Amino acid sequence: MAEQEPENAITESVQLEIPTGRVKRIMKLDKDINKVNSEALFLITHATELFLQSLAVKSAGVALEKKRKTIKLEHLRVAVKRHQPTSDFLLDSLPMPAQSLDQQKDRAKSRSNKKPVPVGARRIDAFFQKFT
Amino acid sequence: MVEEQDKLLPIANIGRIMKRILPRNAKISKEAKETVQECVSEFISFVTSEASDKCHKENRKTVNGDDICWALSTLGFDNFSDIMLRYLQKFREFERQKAEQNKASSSEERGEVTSNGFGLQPVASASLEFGILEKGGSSSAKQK
Repeated sequence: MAEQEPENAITESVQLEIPTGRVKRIMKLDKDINKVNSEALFLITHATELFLQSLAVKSAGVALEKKRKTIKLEHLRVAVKRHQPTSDFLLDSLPMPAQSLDQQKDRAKSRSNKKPVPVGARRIDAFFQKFT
Repeated sequence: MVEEQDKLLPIANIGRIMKRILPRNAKISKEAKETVQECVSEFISFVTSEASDKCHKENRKTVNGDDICWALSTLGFDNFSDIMLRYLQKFREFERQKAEQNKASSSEERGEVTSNGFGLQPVASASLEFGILEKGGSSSAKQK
Protein backbone atom coordinates (compact mmCIF):
# COMPACT_ATOMS: atom_id res chain seq x y z
CA MET A 1 0.00 0.00 0.00
CA ALA A 2 1.21 3.48 -0.74
CA GLU A 3 0.63 4.60 2.83
CA GLN A 4 3.19 2.20 4.29
CA GLU A 5 6.91 2.88 4.26
CA PRO A 6 8.33 2.33 0.78
CA GLU A 7 10.83 -0.28 1.98
CA ASN A 8 8.09 -2.51 3.36
CA ALA A 9 6.01 -2.08 0.23
CA ILE A 10 8.79 -3.45 -1.96
CA THR A 11 9.72 -6.47 0.07
CA GLU A 12 6.11 -7.61 0.44
CA SER A 13 4.99 -9.81 -2.41
CA VAL A 14 3.39 -7.75 -5.14
CA GLN A 15 -0.14 -8.83 -5.74
CA LEU A 16 -1.85 -7.06 -8.60
CA GLU A 17 -5.59 -6.69 -8.11
CA ILE A 18 -6.26 -5.36 -11.57
CA PRO A 19 -6.14 -7.82 -14.48
CA THR A 20 -3.18 -6.89 -16.69
CA GLY A 21 -4.94 -8.28 -19.76
CA ARG A 22 -7.65 -5.66 -19.51
CA VAL A 23 -5.06 -2.92 -18.92
CA LYS A 24 -3.26 -4.01 -22.05
CA ARG A 25 -6.52 -3.87 -24.01
CA ILE A 26 -7.16 -0.30 -22.85
CA MET A 27 -3.64 0.70 -23.85
CA LYS A 28 -4.16 -0.87 -27.28
CA LEU A 29 -7.16 1.39 -27.93
CA ASP A 30 -4.65 4.11 -28.78
CA LYS A 31 -3.43 3.34 -32.29
CA ASP A 32 -0.24 5.35 -31.75
CA ILE A 33 0.99 2.90 -29.17
CA ASN A 34 3.27 0.32 -30.75
CA LYS A 35 4.72 -2.10 -28.26
CA VAL A 36 4.76 -2.17 -24.51
CA ASN A 37 7.07 -4.53 -22.66
CA SER A 38 6.08 -6.60 -19.66
CA GLU A 39 7.75 -4.42 -17.06
CA ALA A 40 5.92 -1.38 -18.40
CA LEU A 41 2.61 -3.24 -18.23
CA PHE A 42 3.34 -4.26 -14.67
CA LEU A 43 4.20 -0.70 -13.62
CA ILE A 44 1.21 0.88 -15.31
CA THR A 45 -1.11 -1.63 -13.68
CA HIS A 46 0.39 -0.99 -10.30
CA ALA A 47 0.37 2.79 -10.75
CA THR A 48 -3.29 2.54 -11.73
CA GLU A 49 -4.06 0.73 -8.50
CA LEU A 50 -2.32 3.45 -6.53
CA PHE A 51 -4.21 6.10 -8.46
CA LEU A 52 -7.50 4.36 -7.78
CA GLN A 53 -6.73 4.13 -4.07
CA SER A 54 -5.73 7.77 -4.03
CA LEU A 55 -9.01 8.80 -5.68
CA ALA A 56 -10.99 6.69 -3.23
CA VAL A 57 -9.30 8.11 -0.16
CA LYS A 58 -9.56 11.71 -1.33
CA SER A 59 -13.22 11.36 -2.29
CA ALA A 60 -13.96 9.78 1.07
CA GLY A 61 -12.27 12.76 2.71
CA VAL A 62 -14.52 15.17 0.83
CA ALA A 63 -17.63 13.17 1.76
CA LEU A 64 -16.54 13.31 5.39
CA GLU A 65 -16.11 17.07 5.20
CA LYS A 66 -19.68 17.38 3.94
CA LYS A 67 -20.83 15.02 6.68
CA ARG A 68 -22.06 12.43 4.22
CA LYS A 69 -21.77 8.67 4.62
CA THR A 70 -22.02 7.85 0.95
CA ILE A 71 -19.34 8.94 -1.48
CA LYS A 72 -21.04 10.58 -4.42
CA LEU A 73 -19.97 11.95 -7.78
CA GLU A 74 -19.77 15.49 -6.42
CA HIS A 75 -17.27 14.40 -3.78
CA LEU A 76 -15.19 12.76 -6.48
CA ARG A 77 -15.31 15.95 -8.51
CA VAL A 78 -14.04 18.09 -5.63
CA ALA A 79 -11.28 15.57 -4.93
CA VAL A 80 -10.18 15.68 -8.58
CA LYS A 81 -10.22 19.48 -8.62
CA ARG A 82 -7.98 19.68 -5.57
CA HIS A 83 -5.11 17.74 -7.13
CA GLN A 84 -3.71 19.77 -10.03
CA PRO A 85 -2.16 16.95 -12.09
CA THR A 86 -5.31 14.87 -11.82
CA SER A 87 -7.54 17.84 -12.53
CA ASP A 88 -5.61 18.68 -15.69
CA PHE A 89 -6.45 15.44 -17.43
CA LEU A 90 -9.59 14.30 -15.68
CA LEU A 91 -11.88 17.20 -14.84
CA ASP A 92 -13.34 17.51 -18.34
CA SER A 93 -14.09 13.79 -18.48
CA LEU A 94 -16.35 13.82 -15.45
CA PRO A 95 -20.10 13.91 -16.15
CA MET A 96 -21.65 17.37 -15.80
CA PRO A 97 -23.33 18.18 -12.47
CA ALA A 98 -26.70 18.59 -14.21
CA GLN A 99 -26.49 15.02 -15.48
CA SER A 100 -25.56 13.60 -12.13
CA LEU A 101 -27.86 10.75 -11.16
CA ASP A 102 -26.78 11.12 -7.56
CA GLN A 103 -28.12 14.67 -7.49
CA GLN A 104 -31.37 13.68 -9.20
CA LYS A 105 -31.88 10.92 -6.67
CA ASP A 106 -31.22 13.33 -3.80
CA ARG A 107 -33.72 15.80 -5.21
CA ALA A 108 -36.35 13.11 -5.68
CA LYS A 109 -35.81 11.88 -2.16
CA SER A 110 -36.23 15.34 -0.62
CA ARG A 111 -39.33 15.91 -2.72
CA SER A 112 -40.96 12.71 -1.57
CA ASN A 113 -40.09 13.48 2.04
CA LYS A 114 -41.98 16.77 1.91
CA LYS A 115 -45.22 15.54 0.33
CA PRO A 116 -46.40 12.00 0.91
CA VAL A 117 -48.92 11.41 -1.87
CA PRO A 118 -52.17 9.71 -0.78
CA VAL A 119 -53.49 6.87 -2.96
CA GLY A 120 -56.43 8.94 -4.13
CA ALA A 121 -54.19 11.62 -5.60
CA ARG A 122 -52.46 9.09 -7.79
CA ARG A 123 -55.74 8.16 -9.40
CA ILE A 124 -56.36 11.82 -10.23
CA ASP A 125 -52.87 12.07 -11.74
CA ALA A 126 -53.59 9.03 -13.85
CA PHE A 127 -56.71 10.74 -15.16
CA PHE A 128 -54.56 13.53 -16.63
CA GLN A 129 -51.92 11.22 -18.08
CA LYS A 130 -52.01 10.27 -21.69
CA PHE A 131 -53.12 6.72 -22.33
CA THR A 132 -50.60 4.85 -24.44
CA MET B 1 -22.50 -2.76 -24.76
CA VAL B 2 -19.78 -5.45 -24.54
CA GLU B 3 -17.48 -3.13 -26.48
CA GLU B 4 -17.93 -0.37 -23.94
CA GLN B 5 -16.99 -2.66 -21.08
CA ASP B 6 -13.76 -3.61 -22.84
CA LYS B 7 -12.57 -0.03 -22.41
CA LEU B 8 -13.04 -0.25 -18.66
CA LEU B 9 -11.57 -2.25 -15.84
CA PRO B 10 -13.99 -4.70 -14.20
CA ILE B 11 -16.14 -2.84 -11.71
CA ALA B 12 -15.86 -5.72 -9.25
CA ASN B 13 -12.09 -5.21 -8.99
CA ILE B 14 -12.55 -1.45 -8.70
CA GLY B 15 -15.08 -1.88 -5.90
CA ARG B 16 -12.85 -4.35 -4.08
CA ILE B 17 -9.80 -2.08 -4.16
CA MET B 18 -11.85 0.89 -2.95
CA LYS B 19 -13.52 -1.09 -0.17
CA ARG B 20 -10.21 -2.37 1.06
CA ILE B 21 -8.67 1.06 1.54
CA LEU B 22 -11.75 2.82 2.91
CA PRO B 23 -13.24 2.46 6.41
CA ARG B 24 -15.63 -0.46 6.69
CA ASN B 25 -18.77 1.67 6.99
CA ALA B 26 -17.93 3.75 3.90
CA LYS B 27 -20.46 3.61 1.07
CA ILE B 28 -19.92 4.52 -2.55
CA SER B 29 -22.78 5.44 -4.85
CA LYS B 30 -23.11 3.38 -8.03
CA GLU B 31 -22.60 6.50 -10.10
CA ALA B 32 -19.41 7.41 -8.25
CA LYS B 33 -18.03 3.89 -8.67
CA GLU B 34 -18.81 3.89 -12.40
CA THR B 35 -17.19 7.30 -12.75
CA VAL B 36 -14.07 6.08 -10.95
CA GLN B 37 -14.07 3.17 -13.38
CA GLU B 38 -13.90 5.65 -16.27
CA CYS B 39 -11.29 7.77 -14.49
CA VAL B 40 -8.82 4.93 -14.16
CA SER B 41 -9.13 4.07 -17.85
CA GLU B 42 -8.37 7.71 -18.61
CA PHE B 43 -5.35 7.48 -16.34
CA ILE B 44 -4.02 4.41 -18.13
CA SER B 45 -4.47 6.00 -21.57
CA PHE B 46 -3.02 9.30 -20.45
CA VAL B 47 0.18 7.94 -18.90
CA THR B 48 0.76 5.39 -21.67
CA SER B 49 0.28 8.03 -24.34
CA GLU B 50 2.86 10.29 -22.73
CA ALA B 51 5.34 7.41 -22.42
CA SER B 52 4.69 6.41 -26.01
CA ASP B 53 5.30 9.96 -27.31
CA LYS B 54 8.70 9.93 -25.63
CA CYS B 55 9.54 6.66 -27.39
CA HIS B 56 8.51 8.07 -30.77
CA LYS B 57 10.69 11.12 -30.25
CA GLU B 58 13.63 8.92 -29.39
CA ASN B 59 12.96 6.55 -32.29
CA ARG B 60 12.24 3.60 -30.03
CA LYS B 61 9.44 1.16 -30.74
CA THR B 62 8.88 -0.33 -27.33
CA VAL B 63 7.64 1.43 -24.22
CA ASN B 64 9.58 0.18 -21.22
CA GLY B 65 9.40 0.64 -17.46
CA ASP B 66 11.64 3.71 -17.42
CA ASP B 67 9.30 5.43 -19.85
CA ILE B 68 6.34 4.78 -17.57
CA CYS B 69 8.22 6.17 -14.55
CA TRP B 70 9.25 9.19 -16.56
CA ALA B 71 5.68 9.78 -17.77
CA LEU B 72 4.32 9.57 -14.22
CA SER B 73 6.85 12.10 -13.03
CA THR B 74 6.30 14.45 -15.98
CA LEU B 75 2.55 14.40 -15.51
CA GLY B 76 2.91 15.39 -11.86
CA PHE B 77 2.51 12.01 -10.18
CA ASP B 78 5.92 12.22 -8.51
CA ASN B 79 5.11 10.01 -5.58
CA PHE B 80 3.88 7.25 -7.90
CA SER B 81 7.00 7.70 -10.00
CA ASP B 82 9.29 7.21 -6.98
CA ILE B 83 7.49 4.07 -5.88
CA MET B 84 7.46 2.67 -9.42
CA LEU B 85 11.18 3.29 -9.89
CA ARG B 86 11.90 1.14 -6.88
CA TYR B 87 9.55 -1.59 -8.12
CA LEU B 88 11.24 -1.39 -11.49
CA GLN B 89 14.65 -2.00 -9.96
CA LYS B 90 13.32 -4.98 -8.06
CA PHE B 91 11.47 -6.26 -11.12
CA ARG B 92 14.65 -6.17 -13.20
CA GLU B 93 16.64 -7.77 -10.43
CA PHE B 94 14.07 -10.55 -10.25
CA GLU B 95 14.14 -11.03 -14.01
CA ARG B 96 17.93 -11.11 -14.00
CA GLN B 97 17.99 -13.74 -11.31
CA LYS B 98 15.43 -15.79 -13.15
CA ALA B 99 17.51 -15.61 -16.34
CA GLU B 100 20.62 -16.65 -14.43
CA GLN B 101 18.73 -19.49 -12.83
CA ASN B 102 17.67 -20.75 -16.23
CA LYS B 103 21.24 -20.73 -17.50
CA ALA B 104 22.85 -22.45 -14.53
CA SER B 105 20.82 -25.29 -13.10
CA SER B 106 22.41 -25.59 -9.66
CA SER B 107 19.97 -25.99 -6.76
CA GLU B 108 21.92 -23.43 -4.72
CA GLU B 109 20.96 -20.59 -7.02
CA ARG B 110 17.41 -21.80 -7.14
CA GLY B 111 17.32 -21.49 -3.36
CA GLU B 112 18.54 -17.93 -3.59
CA VAL B 113 15.78 -16.93 -5.94
CA THR B 114 12.99 -18.44 -3.86
CA SER B 115 14.15 -16.63 -0.73
CA ASN B 116 13.84 -13.33 -2.58
CA GLY B 117 11.19 -11.27 -0.85
CA PHE B 118 9.81 -9.93 -4.10
CA GLY B 119 7.31 -12.63 -4.96
CA LEU B 120 6.17 -11.41 -8.34
CA GLN B 121 3.07 -12.77 -9.99
CA PRO B 122 3.93 -14.56 -13.27
CA VAL B 123 2.90 -11.57 -15.33
CA ALA B 124 6.02 -11.66 -17.50
CA SER B 125 5.64 -15.24 -18.69
CA ALA B 126 1.90 -14.97 -19.23
CA SER B 127 2.37 -11.92 -21.40
CA LEU B 128 4.61 -13.66 -23.94
CA GLU B 129 1.60 -14.85 -25.90
CA PHE B 130 0.30 -11.35 -26.54
CA GLY B 131 1.25 -9.49 -29.70
CA ILE B 132 2.18 -6.11 -28.35
CA LEU B 133 4.48 -7.19 -25.57
CA GLU B 134 8.16 -7.85 -25.79
CA LYS B 135 9.95 -9.75 -23.07
CA GLY B 136 12.72 -8.04 -21.18
CA GLY B 137 13.35 -4.35 -20.70
CA SER B 138 16.29 -2.51 -22.14
CA SER B 139 19.21 -2.01 -19.86
CA SER B 140 19.30 1.70 -20.59
CA ALA B 141 20.25 4.11 -17.84
CA LYS B 142 17.52 5.85 -15.91
CA GLN B 143 16.10 8.71 -17.95
CA LYS B 144 15.21 11.80 -16.00
